Amino acid sequence: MRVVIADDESLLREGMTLLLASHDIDVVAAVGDVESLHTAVREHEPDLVITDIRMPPGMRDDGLQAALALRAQRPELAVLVLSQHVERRYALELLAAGRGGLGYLLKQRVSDGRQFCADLRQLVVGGTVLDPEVVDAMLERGPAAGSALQTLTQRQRQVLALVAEGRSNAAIAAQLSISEKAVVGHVSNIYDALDLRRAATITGACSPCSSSRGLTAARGRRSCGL
Amino acid sequence: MASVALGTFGRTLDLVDFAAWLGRPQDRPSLRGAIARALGDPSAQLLYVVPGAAAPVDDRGVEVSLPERSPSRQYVTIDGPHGPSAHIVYDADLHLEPAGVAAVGQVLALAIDHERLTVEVRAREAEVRASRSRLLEETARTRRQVAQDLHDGAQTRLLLAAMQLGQVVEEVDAEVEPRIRAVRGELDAAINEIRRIANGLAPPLLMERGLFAAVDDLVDRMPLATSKEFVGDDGTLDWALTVGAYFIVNEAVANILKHADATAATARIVRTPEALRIEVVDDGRGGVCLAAAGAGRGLSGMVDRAAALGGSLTCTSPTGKGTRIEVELPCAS
Repeated sequence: MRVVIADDESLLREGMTLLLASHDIDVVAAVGDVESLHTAVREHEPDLVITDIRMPPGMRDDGLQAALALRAQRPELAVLVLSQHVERRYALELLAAGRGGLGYLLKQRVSDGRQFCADLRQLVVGGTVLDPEVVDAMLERGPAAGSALQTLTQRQRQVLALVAEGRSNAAIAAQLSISEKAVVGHVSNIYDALDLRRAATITGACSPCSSSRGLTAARGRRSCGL
Repeated sequence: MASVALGTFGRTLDLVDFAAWLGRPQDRPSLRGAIARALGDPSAQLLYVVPGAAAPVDDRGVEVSLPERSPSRQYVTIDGPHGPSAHIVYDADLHLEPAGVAAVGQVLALAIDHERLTVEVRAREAEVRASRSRLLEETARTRRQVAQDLHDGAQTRLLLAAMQLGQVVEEVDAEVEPRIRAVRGELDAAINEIRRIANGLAPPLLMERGLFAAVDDLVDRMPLATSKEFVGDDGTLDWALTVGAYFIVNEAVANILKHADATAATARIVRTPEALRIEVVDDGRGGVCLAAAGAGRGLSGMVDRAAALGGSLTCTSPTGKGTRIEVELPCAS
């Protein structure tokens, strides 16, 4: 896997480069601003871009805009945005950018190197990786008229809450005393209701008989093989 | 005294007018105008001495420096009950004698001193307003800087520490691992706590996307049907105004949720070159009164914020007919 990292904090760039190298992931470039990111992607054609959101030159959401632009140019490029805070609308914009290969994590998730690298591997095979806090933020929308969440059933809300807590499909099934197949069905309906399907399709990986990339894959926390 | 004045510059000083002027303390035109007429010198200026000010001030309370004396421009200083109270600046080419000008001044000395005190209060008010707005700008800037410093400094350091610890965890014996994980849990909690503080100091969406996007997000999270409209360009608003406007809307929306018992609301922000206009309207129970003691800290806080930004807030809230908050904040184009 070939990765380009963009973060304006050089110590974090170096730390992440070392971390990825120790898990046999090849960081082909590590850059500090958006323009260099575009150049590095043109030059190296990586499988994955990891970018901070607040970046030079604007120090606004430049990194996210670059991620969306890169993704529009190269639909096959996997993109992970990292940030020190979570915004619901950033998640929605990102998920609207294509099918799979998209991720949004809090920066502190890099501290669990093994999990983080597992997330990266998921991304490059088309998985979607969302921080539990991103999922929480997406659920934060109140029951305003027209809000999709209002249409969720009590049971769907229970399932969604457990997904956001990072439970595996099996654990959710056990807790709610329903079958894993029913969990997958609920999840599918939830994503329909939240209009996430245009952003990501629920793959066969979500079915109960597939163990590798369930809805709550890997650590069973935040990687959703949507 | 008036006859002295009349004798000296009988050209225009009308004693009847002058008496009438003195007899109308409530709505009389400016003292400067009266002196200009008395002297027959439309260019005459009346500059008041305000203790502590670097220069005399005009009738609006604005500091004006005294001109250099020259053959064509002269001034006399009028003494009041508490020392020098004002300067009359006049056109020396009109052949006015300083003594005569001073005499007119002395006729008006008490009125001048009274006016001087009014102007002094006005000058102090303007000073207080300006210093309040400087403080507000400084506070907003500082809060943003502290948020940025926390983000770049402490939070990044903690991230690096957590990353290093994450590496260590992969190399140690199984029995030590739970303890290291516990430490990492603490680091995680510290990072979250710093994020919470930084977000409170300067909402990230406001920094990264601006006022309209942040209010849009706020409205989207309302558990009540809320429509919104944004007009104009929010890209050039300065930070103090951006933050102030955001927290005003935030507070207005919070009040609706807490007290209004509304079924629908509207938020509208219009940016023109001169001003930022905010309207937050609900269809709830109304009856909110700005002046009432129970108006609550929320509403008075909004009024304070608007005033500190040099703007104004009006609240229309007939009982049973919803509440309309309108705020107008001046902005440089």
